[in-house]
Amino acid sequence: MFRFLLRKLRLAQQFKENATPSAGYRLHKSLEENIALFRAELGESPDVAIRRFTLNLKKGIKAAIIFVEGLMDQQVVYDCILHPLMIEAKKETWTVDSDLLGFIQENLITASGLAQEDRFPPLVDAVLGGDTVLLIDGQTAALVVSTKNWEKRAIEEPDTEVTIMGPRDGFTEDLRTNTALLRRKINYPGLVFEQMVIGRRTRTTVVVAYVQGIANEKIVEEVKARLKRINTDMILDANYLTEFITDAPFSPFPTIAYTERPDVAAARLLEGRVAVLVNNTPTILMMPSLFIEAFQSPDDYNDHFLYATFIRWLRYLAFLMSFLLPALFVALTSYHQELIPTPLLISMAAAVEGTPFPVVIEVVAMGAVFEIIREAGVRLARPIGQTISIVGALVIGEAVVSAGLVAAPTVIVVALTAITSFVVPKQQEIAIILRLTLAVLAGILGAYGIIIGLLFTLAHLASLRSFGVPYFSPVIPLQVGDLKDVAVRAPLWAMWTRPQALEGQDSKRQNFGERVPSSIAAEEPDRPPSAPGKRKKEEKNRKK
Amino acid sequence: MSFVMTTGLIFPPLQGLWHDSWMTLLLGLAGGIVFALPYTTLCLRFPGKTLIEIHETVFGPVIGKLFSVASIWYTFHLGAQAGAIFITFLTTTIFTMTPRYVFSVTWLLVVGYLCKKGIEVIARVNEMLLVVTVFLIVGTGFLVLNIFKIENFLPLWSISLSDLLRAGFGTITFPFGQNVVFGLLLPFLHERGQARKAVFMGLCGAALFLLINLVITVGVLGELGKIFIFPTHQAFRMISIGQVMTRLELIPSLIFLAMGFIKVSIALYAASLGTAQLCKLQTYRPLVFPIGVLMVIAAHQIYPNIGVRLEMVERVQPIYALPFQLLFPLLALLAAVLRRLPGKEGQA
Repeated sequence: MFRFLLRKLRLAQQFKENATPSAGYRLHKSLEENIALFRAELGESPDVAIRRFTLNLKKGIKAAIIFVEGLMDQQVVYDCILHPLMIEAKKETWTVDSDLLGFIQENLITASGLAQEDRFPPLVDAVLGGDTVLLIDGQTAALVVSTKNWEKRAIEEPDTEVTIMGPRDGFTEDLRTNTALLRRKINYPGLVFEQMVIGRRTRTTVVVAYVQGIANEKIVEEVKARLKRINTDMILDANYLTEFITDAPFSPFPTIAYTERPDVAAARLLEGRVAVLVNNTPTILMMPSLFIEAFQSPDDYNDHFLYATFIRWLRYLAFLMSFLLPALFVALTSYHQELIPTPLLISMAAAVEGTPFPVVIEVVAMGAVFEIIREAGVRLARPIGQTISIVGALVIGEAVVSAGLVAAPTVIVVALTAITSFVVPKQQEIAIILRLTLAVLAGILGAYGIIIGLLFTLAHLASLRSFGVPYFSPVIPLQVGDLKDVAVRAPLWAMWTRPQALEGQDSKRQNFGERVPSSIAAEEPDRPPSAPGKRKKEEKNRKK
Repeated sequence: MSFVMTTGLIFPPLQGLWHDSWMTLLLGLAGGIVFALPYTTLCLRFPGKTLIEIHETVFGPVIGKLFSVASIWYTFHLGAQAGAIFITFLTTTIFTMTPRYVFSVTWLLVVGYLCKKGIEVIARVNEMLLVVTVFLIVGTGFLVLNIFKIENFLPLWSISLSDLLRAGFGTITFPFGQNVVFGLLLPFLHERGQARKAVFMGLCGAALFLLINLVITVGVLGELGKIFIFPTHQAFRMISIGQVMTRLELIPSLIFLAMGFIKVSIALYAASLGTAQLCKLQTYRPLVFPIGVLMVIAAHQIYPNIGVRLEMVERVQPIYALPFQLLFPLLALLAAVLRRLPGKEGQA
């Protein structure tokens, strides 16, 4: 039904559309006119600086550089542009042929990034992007010198995905830093970055990254095609892109994943996924994304595989609990008391004695209270946040029970749910929605309500796709080979194929189960240690 | 896809002869396979066509339409029947005070949603539920070991052959013969050549788990089981391990209920799809909810209470279902063979 409305709205919108083709008009010959052009386009903003000077080549030609202060490196501008053109040029006796710009480009300017441009709009873009534009009187082209440099945040460990072991670096807001971080992880020529600009007003640079020879070409093309079709005027954050290109715009399940960790991104890229890096955002998008990804933490791969498997199972359990527990509690206490073992039932009945509301209301209300406390704590300064959690958790929780408003078992259940919901932070939002819905359903229809809700969710999950890949795979549809990183965390040497669900190329990581065998012969305890010469002989024999 | 077959069957409680019912079950399986022959053959002869389209090519537009209407009616009735069983089950065992319309409406919402998403989603959801169900059946097998009595199966062969045959025939038509519904869906299999194999595997798998279920139920309840309408439910009720796992009947019941959803969804999907093809519509999707509503009404009308349903299953069902399950596909096959139909046209 949402889709239907959306289609109608889109139709209505199309009538209003009027594209404004911006013709790439060219530079004039006169310097003053060109400067006037820039002034007209950029206004009198104080951060746009125009520095006029005389080019001491031949008989002194007028020139100017234009840049935005704060986006460029003063040192580079001085060392690479102003100094050579004003001082170095005077010393030497040059023989300049007709192509003045080419001459300057080749002999004078010492910056590493340099290009000629004769159309006006790209020049404006370059200035706004932090480059310096060199205009020379009498030339119908200008030089764009790469002088980008601005204040950046240092590389820090991301707060959202903390790990105990493994690398601590995280993406920053700077796109170049982020691509460099990825390059450092994957030192392979097949890692491709493709750049595009999205957003009519923000002109956000977006980079599509993938590993050639591993990623599925079709998915790469699809990602690029979808990005190109975005027609909006601002992209401020990665989620702006997500909402435009996601497969199921109304689904609460995220079919595009995000990460702030280069190690996670690198691992995903090498599984055959596509990454989208957005300028000015430390989160990068990974697609296609599967439901199960939320349960895979980078720590899993830094720990022993048995322990990692155990922890992963705990995570599944915690996730199940985080949305099922309140509903089950409601259903059991208000409909199916026979399922509770009798001694437990008696103590629970004693606790419920005297509380005014039915269990559903208690659970939903306490759940809402918890969400409010959490939300209040998240966006406040840290010291105040702690105060809030103490007031919320201890004072309200304790007082509500001792005042006889809510039964103690309800508080226990809600508290437990609250803790479990933080075990899988990436699916936390779904858990909240599901938890409240299921609790209400259980209150109305008992266990039947839960089944209805679960079936509905399951049907929805089964119908979701992320860039053509079934969202709930490898569980439905079942892909046994992929379960090695889902049901368990297999030892790394046993994860010999990339996820089949992604249908990438070159699905083989290594030969099956190929480990590095020990080259030191095991000491056999029964025999006395043999002489070194003898052992060498034995080794030779073995090699034969 | 082949798993679709299993599900529809797994829940329906077996009536009739009690401690010899495992024999009936095997007989039912054999009969079910025989019944499955005509329509699978038909589907293999006309690859990529549903029963509705086959009817039209075989019998011509007018008579073919009549046959198609009959098939659709049967599917529709099947869905209504299954829905009615589960709703009755709910209102008689767990939710005795809740009005049944609450169940049928919520039921319809979920089933309709499933159907709108298409056969692929139904199959996938089913796959998931099937794993859970198998796990549960085997798991409960272990849980009831302490109250399981093998003596409950004695004496063997205590019934006359005619009784056995009659009961066996009943099992063929319900639940095994109901597979004819898949005649409407087989063309959607990924590997068309595998159609017959898929159906047979489905039947055998279903029979296997019904058998395990039956053995558990009979072994636990013994002669007592005869008096219950839903003996499986009762058997799980007897589970008692320590002080913790007691009276667990709710959990398996609800899982089976979930399977019931799948069964109704398949029936509703097949009925909507069949109707759409009959009327040459582009898509079946707008039909899902209207037909679903009709199905709910029919479920309430045909089976106002449990007594009527039992009567139906015991007496009417075998005769009523026979033409739909065996006769029509057989007739169509016969006509196709006589008219040498699949020939060149079928290839194209």
